[in-house]
Amino acid sequence: MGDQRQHGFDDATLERFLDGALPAAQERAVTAALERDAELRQQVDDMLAMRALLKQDLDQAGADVDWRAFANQVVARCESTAPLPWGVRLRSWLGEVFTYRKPVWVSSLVVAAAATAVLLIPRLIDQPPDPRLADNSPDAAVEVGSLETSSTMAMVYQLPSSRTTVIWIAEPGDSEEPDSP
Amino acid sequence: MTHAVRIVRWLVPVLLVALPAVGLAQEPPPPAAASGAAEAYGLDIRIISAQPTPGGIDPTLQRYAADLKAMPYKSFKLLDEQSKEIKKNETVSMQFPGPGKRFLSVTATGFKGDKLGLDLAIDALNFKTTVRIPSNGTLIVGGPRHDKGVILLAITARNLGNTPAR
Repeated sequence: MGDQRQHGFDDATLERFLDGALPAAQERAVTAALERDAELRQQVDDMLAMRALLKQDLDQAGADVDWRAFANQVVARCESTAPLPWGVRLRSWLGEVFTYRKPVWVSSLVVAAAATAVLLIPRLIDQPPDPRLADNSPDAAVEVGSLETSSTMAMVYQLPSSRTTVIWIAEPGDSEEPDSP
Repeated sequence: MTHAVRIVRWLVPVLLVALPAVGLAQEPPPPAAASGAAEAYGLDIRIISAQPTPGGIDPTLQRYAADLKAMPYKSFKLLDEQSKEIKKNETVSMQFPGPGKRFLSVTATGFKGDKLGLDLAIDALNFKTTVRIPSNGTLIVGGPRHDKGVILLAITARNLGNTPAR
């Protein structure tokens, strides 16, 4: 290092020493060197003097500025700016959400799709066919449990559609009876 | 970023996951018969005059056309009809033509399996029967005399809301 002196500490190390930012072991080494090395002490004193000068100049510069006017100007500028339209704000928000929350959205969608599949597919597979949907199934027919009539003739038969059953009763005195299909 | 905004930004994806899952987890409501809830049936009762004279099938009876063609009559005319929603133990009566006052009474007796139980009676003919009709199934009671032909009483039952419509 170009600025490294005989004592072995460069300017950056000494700056960090003055800032109190050195590791404990290194800080102890610098302190021990300061006690025995007059050149090092002089260098550190010069650095402290330079810092004091800089601070004095900065304080002076800060004091010359009217910060109240600066703050007022910032506030006035903010207040004069019209709020962004809702569309722009929404796009901005969505863009931010999808950019920075992308993993959350992706994982949410994956979990939702998986949950949908897990819950829905077995239900679709296990869904029993409705026996009534088949016209020729026994369940599609009308069942006649009991039949009482004073008729001389009664007949129960099923029509070709299988969903229609006929109970035919002949009134007393009927001479002609219908033909069963 | 305020806490509220953070919560909202995390809540949206969570809801996206939770809502479909909760929706799908909902079991379909059990049929009214199984749950014991009030059973409601749709009953269509049609009084049809079947005559041996040519005349064809009344256009309003087209849904029965295939069945009516299988009967030994040549004209079929709708005389009266009634469509009604009835509940268990409720009775519907309809008068039909013939000597004296003739009534068909239909009483819903509830689900028996996946069929609707009905008690039918025509007192004037000392006729009683107990039947079980699948949803959209039809029972035709035929035979009472009318003019030169007969009366057909077509009873179609529908399970309202519990059976897929066909």
